[in-house]
Amino acid sequence: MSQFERDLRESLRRREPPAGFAEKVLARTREVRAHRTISWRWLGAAASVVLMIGATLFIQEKQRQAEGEKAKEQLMVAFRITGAKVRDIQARFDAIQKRVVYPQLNP
Amino acid sequence: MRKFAILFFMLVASTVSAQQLDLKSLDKFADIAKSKTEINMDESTIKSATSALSEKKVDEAIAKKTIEGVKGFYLRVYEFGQKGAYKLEDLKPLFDQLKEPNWKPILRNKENDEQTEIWMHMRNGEPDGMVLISAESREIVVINGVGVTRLDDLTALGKMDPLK
Amino acid sequence: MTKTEFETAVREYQGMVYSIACSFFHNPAIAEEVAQDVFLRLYEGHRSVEAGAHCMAWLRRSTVHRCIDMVRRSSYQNEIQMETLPDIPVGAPETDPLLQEHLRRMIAALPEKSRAVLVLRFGEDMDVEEIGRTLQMPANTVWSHLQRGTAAIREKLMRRMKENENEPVRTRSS
Repeated sequence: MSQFERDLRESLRRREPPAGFAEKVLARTREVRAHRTISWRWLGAAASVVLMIGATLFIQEKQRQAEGEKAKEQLMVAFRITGAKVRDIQARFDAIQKRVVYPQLNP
Repeated sequence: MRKFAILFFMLVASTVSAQQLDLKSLDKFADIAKSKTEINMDESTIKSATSALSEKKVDEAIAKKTIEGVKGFYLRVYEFGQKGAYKLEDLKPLFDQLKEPNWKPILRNKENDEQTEIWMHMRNGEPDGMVLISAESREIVVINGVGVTRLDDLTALGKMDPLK
Repeated sequence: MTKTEFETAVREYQGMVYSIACSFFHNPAIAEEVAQDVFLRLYEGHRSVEAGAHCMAWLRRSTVHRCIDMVRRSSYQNEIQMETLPDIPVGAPETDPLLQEHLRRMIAALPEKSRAVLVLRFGEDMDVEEIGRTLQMPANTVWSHLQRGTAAIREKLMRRMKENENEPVRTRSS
């Protein structure tokens, strides 16, 4: 081995990192772990929120449909009664008209 | 012939679906009636009902057509066990309200203590509602339509099956 | 690799990773940053890295690639021009720390691939094939970088020494 190569090897020999390097690295990995747990927790929370919103919207839609059906029933009752009364009125006025126009037929 | 006094009273609210005539004076009939039907449908309830109507069913198709433009529908039906349970004078508070200038009579008939009236509510010279009042000896019917502007609209309801 | 094995790996190979980075940049702060990043990457992928020789090879490879990437990014361009390096005093002893310092700076001033080859050859004592696998380059290319890198440093060293011989004794430049 030449002197030059010896010098190169000497200049590139292993050096220890500053004191506490390993602890710093391990501390950072713990931060990463905590962050990941938080991230997963946030993801889980976000997923829960999405599910809840979805479920809420579904329930609200079902409620809306139920309310619509109830209102429809109410409307149909109101309209049937109205229809019946209008028919009565029509029949009554038809009878009046006949008595007026044809009194001899409808005494 | 049965002595009937039928009062049809249809009230119309103009822009807002609220009643234009006060129906509170009819509350006293609820206390003495054998049976009663009281329906109050404001604009939002009508919208909700409209969304559930199916054009595939005959009666619902009629209803859907009639309900177009209707912003409120108020109905009172009181049946009494015997004649004389009430007097026509008891309906005076309602009829007094029809003396306002924006109410125009379409049909008025009184026969044998039976009273039938149809009135149109006017707003800026245009009809924006209809009232039917039918008063019989054993029954009072008050029908309040908001946004109903033609009698034909209500006549169409006569095609609905009353037994359903 | 388990988390426990990872912690062992950090303690066992921190010197190697730090040294490679330090030799590359001749800057302890950057070297420490690079070394931390490399270990964090190992942590993130520790399940796919086996402890032992596989881990060591992974760390070497990652450190060198990280160093090369940083050199190529403009923010970490810290190449020292050969001409700006201070002179090597005449009659410097063979193990003169100043000579070592010069050599380290010269190595840190080489183009990144030649630099990587020299660091792995003389710092990690790897053979040409191993260097080729680490840097993903053919053995001939490794030889080529090795020769070019050592030739450049040697030439600079000789030139400086000859220039100093012809001049009066100078004080060490700061």
